[in-house]
Amino acid sequence: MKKLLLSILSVVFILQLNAQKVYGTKTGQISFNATGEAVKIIGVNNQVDSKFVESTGQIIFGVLIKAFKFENQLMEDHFNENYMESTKFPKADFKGFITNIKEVNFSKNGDYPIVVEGTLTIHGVGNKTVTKGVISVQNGVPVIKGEFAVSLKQYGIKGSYIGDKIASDASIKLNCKY
Amino acid sequence: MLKKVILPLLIIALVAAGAVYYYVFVYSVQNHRNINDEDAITVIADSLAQHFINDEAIANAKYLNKVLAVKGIVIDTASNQQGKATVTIGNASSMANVFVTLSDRPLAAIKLNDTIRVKGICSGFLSDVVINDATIVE
Repeated sequence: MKKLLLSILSVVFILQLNAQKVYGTKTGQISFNATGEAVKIIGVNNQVDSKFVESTGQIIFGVLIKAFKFENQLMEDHFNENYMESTKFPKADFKGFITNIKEVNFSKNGDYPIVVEGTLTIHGVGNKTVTKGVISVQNGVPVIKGEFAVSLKQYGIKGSYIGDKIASDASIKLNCKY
Repeated sequence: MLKKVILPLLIIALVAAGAVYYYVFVYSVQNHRNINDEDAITVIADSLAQHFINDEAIANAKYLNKVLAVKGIVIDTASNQQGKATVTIGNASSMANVFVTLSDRPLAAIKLNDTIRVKGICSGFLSDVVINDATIVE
């Protein structure tokens, strides 16, 4: 009887633990590509801070603008000073939900398409956004990958060359291993 | 007469264009910001994290984009998705610490609970204070 009670209790306890499972990383990768005419404009950031809750699909990403690295130092300086104004707005973040998290089986290897909905804040401007991505599960370790376009105008990012040497929509690529 | 004016002007314009091209597309690719050229602000990891917890705006004004020499106890080591070594220094029981990405693999193995000093650029504050392009000083 005691044994039974204990095993029931432990099952309940394990379920509870599962329900609270939070995946996190501080070394996610994100790239920013605004290559317009000819000149390559790509910045990579390897310090993406992200967490998501398995049970609810709630997900957050945090990125520091000054942690984007460009091949060209002058480009990196202009990106920070003239376009992103990263001293005034040091961060970009995303807060939202993976709406179909229930379709992801974290105990089975595979690629699961996901839909992410929430608010993306860049340059101090927040916009509601919906995007698609993929969670790849490999031996219990999830990797979230996604690619989406960000209209610089929608986030109040101004400066010369946009729409010309700089694309008016930047392509953002995300790759976070939790 | 006209040739005498136009030719030198043309040469000057060409040289200027060449210099601009060189600075923008060659020099700026080969010469990145070097932390060794800059004076570092010396700070203890715990108090740096505390500054950011207390008032992020003030801490940003003081530390953002500056070269810092941070001293603290190693509470975690790992490597990022790019294969670069990362070290977390501070206090294991604190809410926020200092998360350091090293610009090259550390020469000596860093052990947990060692006290180290790193020099790098402060990129700001997420769940930890982020230090980038760092090297281990001691």
